[in-house]
Amino acid sequence: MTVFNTEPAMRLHRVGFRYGLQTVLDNIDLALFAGERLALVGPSGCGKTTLLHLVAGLLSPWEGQCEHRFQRIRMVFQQPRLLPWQTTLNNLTFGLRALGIDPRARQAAGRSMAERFGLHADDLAKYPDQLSGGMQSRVALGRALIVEPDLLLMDEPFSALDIGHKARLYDDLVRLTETRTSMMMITHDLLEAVRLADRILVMAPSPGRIVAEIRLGLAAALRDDLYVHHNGAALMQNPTVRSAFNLPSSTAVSVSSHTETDVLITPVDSMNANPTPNAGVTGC
Amino acid sequence: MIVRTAHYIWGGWGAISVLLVALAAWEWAAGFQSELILPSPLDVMAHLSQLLADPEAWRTIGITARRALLGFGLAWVVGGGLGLLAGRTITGAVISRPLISVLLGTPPIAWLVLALLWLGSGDGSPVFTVFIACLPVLFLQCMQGSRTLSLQYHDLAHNFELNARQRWVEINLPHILSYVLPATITALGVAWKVVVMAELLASDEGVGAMLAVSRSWLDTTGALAWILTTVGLLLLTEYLFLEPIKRHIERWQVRE
Repeated sequence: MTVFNTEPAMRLHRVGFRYGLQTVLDNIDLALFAGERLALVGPSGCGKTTLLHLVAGLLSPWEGQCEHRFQRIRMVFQQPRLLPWQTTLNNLTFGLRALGIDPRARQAAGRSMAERFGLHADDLAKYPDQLSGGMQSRVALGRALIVEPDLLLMDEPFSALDIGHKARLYDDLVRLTETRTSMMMITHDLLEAVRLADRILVMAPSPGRIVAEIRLGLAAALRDDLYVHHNGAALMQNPTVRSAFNLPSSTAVSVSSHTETDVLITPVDSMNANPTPNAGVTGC
Repeated sequence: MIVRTAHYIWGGWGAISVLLVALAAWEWAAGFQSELILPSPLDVMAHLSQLLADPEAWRTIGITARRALLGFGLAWVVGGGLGLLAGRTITGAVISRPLISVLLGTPPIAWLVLALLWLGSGDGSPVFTVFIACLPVLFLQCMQGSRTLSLQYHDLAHNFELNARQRWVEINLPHILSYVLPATITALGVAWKVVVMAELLASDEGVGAMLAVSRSWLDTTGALAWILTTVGLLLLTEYLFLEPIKRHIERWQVRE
């Protein structure tokens, strides 16, 4: 199991959010460590995207505190949101232009990133609507990673992709974020969460809240398909997870009783949250 | 770039062919009418070449072009600027829409009468009439461009920490230009038509004034030569200047 000994790099304390009279998030406590990969799973409408937007600073909490030490937070949105009037290369280097990097350096960085994501030289001159959905997703991910963020936020970035594209992007992502990038991602897909995350938070709706925390032992780079499916099936049998997704308690999925799983599931009531704010932190 | 330019020029043959067919139809129709009613295109062309050999004709064209471009330029700056401001808020859009409807529905000839009363018969009346005729077209499109900016891109700009200038260059301007450029071409056409009308009724200089002279002399050939001059200038401005700019800026929308 990956152990993070340092103080959390981000901490949300009793965060709540409302759209008008509707409470979307209630009493959210969570901590994220530097270099940690965190996945948020839960049914549609449980406030995952709202929570991610709060962390990104695109929304402000109605109540509670959100503080972090990250210097550069970048987000991969649910839709790629590539600029239709810019070429693939210019979309990749969008973040570098924002940082004022000189044209020659950013072109080189853009070409290098394109190569790492398997984009051909011909593709760099194309406009987004000339690219396939998978290529657009790769460009969106490359656009966020090219500026070397210390926190990468992702809102179901792989939901529109086939399993082949997903597998390649998972590998790319694990490789490119192996060193010092923290990650917080939303997914509906438990297997995706098991594939990529060190820790999974399960959310339930009405109002959106965290109901369970799941820790995975093996490092993401070492997980194979067997590991992912075995532990994914184990999660699917957990009553708290099933309840969050409004699934019936009985299930056709079975995991052999003699096979050990690599997940530690903790209901949120017994989580030991430490809400003490740190010095020198920034509000979300 | 060279391939695109060659493609663009080659693509002009289609338009030229259509114009030549129209000329043939004109020639055919002229065979049934007297020169007073409909002179042949060859007679008009001969008159036109004589006309353009005279420096005075170029001075006349220059006066008309100056008035049209001045009115159009003012409308572009004022209409475009106000349109962008109005599009920033729902209130601005709601308040301005009926005013723009009034401006669009008022015939330019009505404005010309008022302009004559207010500004007299110099440059002022044609310039003002062109300005007021082009203003709502540009205002409306700039407002639409400003209003339809996607919130998605605002979030993107915020997340990637773009400053105000970068937001304009990277996001707002390319989007708004896709609305403004077609409006610019439309407004330029309006400007040429309205300036000739205004000069015909309110000036003793310019192409419109020369048309009035031709009319008084029952010189249909001369009138058609001046009309061809105006249309030719408009086509040259549009296809040699505005259309290439539009194609360059909107190349992301063009699929070959």
